[in-house]
Amino acid sequence: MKIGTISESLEDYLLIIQQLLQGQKQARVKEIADLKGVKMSSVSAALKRLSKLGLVSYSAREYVEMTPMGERLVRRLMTRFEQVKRFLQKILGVPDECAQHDAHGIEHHVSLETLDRLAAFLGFIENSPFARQDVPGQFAQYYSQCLVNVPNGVSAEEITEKFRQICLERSEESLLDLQPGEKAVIRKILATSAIRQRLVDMGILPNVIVLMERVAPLGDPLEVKIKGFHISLRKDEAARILVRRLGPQDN
Amino acid sequence: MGNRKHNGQETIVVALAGNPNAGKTSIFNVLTGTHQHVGNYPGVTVEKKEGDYHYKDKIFRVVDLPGIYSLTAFSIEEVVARQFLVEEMPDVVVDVLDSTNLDRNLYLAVQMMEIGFNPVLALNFSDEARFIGQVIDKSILEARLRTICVETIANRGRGGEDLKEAIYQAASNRAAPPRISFSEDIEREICLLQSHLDEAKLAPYPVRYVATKLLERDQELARFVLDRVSSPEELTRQIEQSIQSIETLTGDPPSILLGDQRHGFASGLVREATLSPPRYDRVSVSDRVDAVLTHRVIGLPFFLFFMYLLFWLTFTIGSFPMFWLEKMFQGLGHLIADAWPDASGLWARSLIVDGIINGVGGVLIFVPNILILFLGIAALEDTGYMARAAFIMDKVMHKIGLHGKSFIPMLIGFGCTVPAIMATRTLDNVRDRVTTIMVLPLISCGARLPIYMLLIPAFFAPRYQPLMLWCMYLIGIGLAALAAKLLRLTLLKGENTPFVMELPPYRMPTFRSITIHMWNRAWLYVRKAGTIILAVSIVIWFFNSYPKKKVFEVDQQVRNGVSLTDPQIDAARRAENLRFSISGRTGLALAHVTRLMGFDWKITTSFIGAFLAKEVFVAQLSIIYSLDKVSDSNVTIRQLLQRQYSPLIGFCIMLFALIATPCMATCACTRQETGGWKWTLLQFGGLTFLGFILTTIVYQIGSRLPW
Repeated sequence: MKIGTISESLEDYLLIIQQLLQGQKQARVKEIADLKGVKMSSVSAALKRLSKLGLVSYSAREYVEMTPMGERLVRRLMTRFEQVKRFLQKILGVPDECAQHDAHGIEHHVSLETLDRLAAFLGFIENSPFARQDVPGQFAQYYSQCLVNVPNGVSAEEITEKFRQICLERSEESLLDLQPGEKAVIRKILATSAIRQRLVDMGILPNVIVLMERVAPLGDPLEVKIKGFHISLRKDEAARILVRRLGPQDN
Repeated sequence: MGNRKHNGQETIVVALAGNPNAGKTSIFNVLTGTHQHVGNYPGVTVEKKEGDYHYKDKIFRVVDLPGIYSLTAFSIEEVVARQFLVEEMPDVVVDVLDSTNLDRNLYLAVQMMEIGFNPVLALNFSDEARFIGQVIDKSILEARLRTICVETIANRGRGGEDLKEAIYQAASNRAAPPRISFSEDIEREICLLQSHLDEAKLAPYPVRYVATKLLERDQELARFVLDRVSSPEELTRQIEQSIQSIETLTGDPPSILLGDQRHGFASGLVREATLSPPRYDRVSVSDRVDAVLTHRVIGLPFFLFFMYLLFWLTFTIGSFPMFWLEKMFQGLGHLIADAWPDASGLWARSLIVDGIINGVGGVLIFVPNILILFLGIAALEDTGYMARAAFIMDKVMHKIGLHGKSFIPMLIGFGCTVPAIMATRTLDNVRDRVTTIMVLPLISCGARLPIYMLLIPAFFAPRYQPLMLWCMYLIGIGLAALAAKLLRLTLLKGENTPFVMELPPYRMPTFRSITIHMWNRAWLYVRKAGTIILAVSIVIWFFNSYPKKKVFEVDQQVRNGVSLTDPQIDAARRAENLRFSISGRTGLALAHVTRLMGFDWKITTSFIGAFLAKEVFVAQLSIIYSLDKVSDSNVTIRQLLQRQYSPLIGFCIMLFALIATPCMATCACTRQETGGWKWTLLQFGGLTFLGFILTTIVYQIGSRLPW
């Protein structure tokens, strides 16, 4: 049975029955009525309709059980709900209770088309190449800038600019991100003066090309090659050297 | 400066500078041959190598400066090098360059030029440079820098004569170095700062150089200048202002910009002089070897294998000459004893045989082991493998607050603490060095082995024996790690040294260079340890022998009818003497305290002797238990020990021997390497105290447990 063939109200009933069936074999009509906040007669009517659709088995007038088909439908419904809730929580950063409540609402008031795309968008952010860039994290930072600045009348462009600065400093790749065999060009060195001086003395400066050779057997330090010589660096030192990866097209 | 005379001949002072791994040592050896000696720069534990050679009508004294990448005073080597250049004013400076990395190597030359020196350039490893396709037009370099360039292949001994000629020429014609200019922004600030500086007061530093360095926040020079300027606050303000101004304009602090521009000058120069550029992308033999030796998976087993090989060579092969030397010294002792003319002056005979030969001999027998160990280490260093060892071990070392390079001294410490302490010279940072030196005695050195070998079989069943031995080693290692961590958190707190370390290409050293390398270290061991041990041997001999007992109990026993053989009587007399002597009495006195550890006066007195060298513990104990030298001492003494003491006490003895009272040679070496008494006394006191506390705890708790 496809999602969308039954009314939202009936979908709700199914979800409630499913909730009640956690831990017991049958759900009682009275319980359903209490949970949904309606009269028992309304429940009976709904249950009859559900039974006709083959989603529940309701014969005893007091108890209700879920059929396999009903279970499958509920699973699909729950997924959709879960996805909307996750979208709110993980992407937008909405607090849990809010997300729970709003997910219900959205589910009921928004078309299937929209819901599908919402769920798909969630998958996109979580699984595509974007996943490495931590979009939700960056959004959270951006949003916190908004929270601070909008009340003070700062324009959206300025917020965006501020945010861009933060991004440039934090989310750029460092030497750590390189795999053995990869080449990169050094962009910026963020380090304390002692380490920085040492790096400069060794020839590690912005615009220098560096090749990541290997990691030591115990996991730390790393070995890189610059021009004709090899240097070893600890991981926390390498993390402060920001680089831009070189693809095969750069040479 | 000028004409130095030595025995009527003019002496030219030549300073040898260059990056580590550029082959400076080989050049030094090529120039001076065996006419070299090693010492220290005054007040610091930086090795100073000097040597000399004759060429034409002059004598040349060569001073090998420490290997440095730069002269910016962030490490003690850089400070020492710069101070030497500025204060001693050598007549000629030779910069030894690794030709395969000319740009980076010239960076140092640029800085020397800023100070006012115009170094002769030794383009070393010229064969390797050619191998990777680099062809340089020397004349362009010489024209631009107004100096002389010489191609050398020092590790094969080539280029020495050309270099000597170049040095000779440079000594007579001194051309000023070219001026190094920086970007507009920086030049402006340099100008500004110069106006605040009084040229006369800053001698011998050039004003422009000082101004530049102040922009770079050079601590040494800042201190120097602020002392000599009329209004230091004004100057400090101007410095801050200038630095800020540059940062705001360019986004980077002056130190980075200056470094960048110096590198730029060097690379530009190299580019101009390059007829054919080097091909760095080729995978060299060295890279291939590294792919195996530092491989993620098999790198570690290879490493362990090399370490094991080093030890095996030192102890197995070294044990033969050690055995011979032992016999030789024993024989010498008997020879003198027998040949002693008359019965008078017996004290002198005793002094020589028991005191000096036993004492000094006991240390000299280690010389073969030391030689082999140092030879092995020199080989590992000169091939370049040591850098890989530090690379592999850094993770572990970092955890206890040390540097990967600290691993090597610790390894050596399993053999003998003295060369281990000397090996800490490879550590750049003073804090790392001192910490490592402080904890090295905790690693079970070879001298403790006789103690373990005596006590373990005496108290523990055969199936537990290997385990107990392992235990002692592990306890040592564990305590060393803990102590290091603790020291780094308290007394020797400080920023972790950056681990940025160059991994030089593997190179095949000549046997000659390895031997010179080894001998430089070994000789120091022999000389220093020898002189101090000689002195203390005499003192301990004195404490063991005097005051002399006149009336012996054993003689009384004999008169009463107890039958004893002559050797037995002799041994008994010796035992009574020892108890009567200063050592014995001190032992008796200290026994009130050492009782807490479960020790009686006999053990305590033996430990006093152990200060000389740990092996002496066993010898002293034998004397106290009045064993004559004829019987099989080891077996008898084990039985005696079993009867007198419990296994717990046996363990406590070993524990105390492990931790407390580093032997005299160690103390002497620590004093030498840390340059003073402070750390030496701290080490001795700290370790003894730690040993006392831990052993007391173990004994007190152990004696209360049911078994």
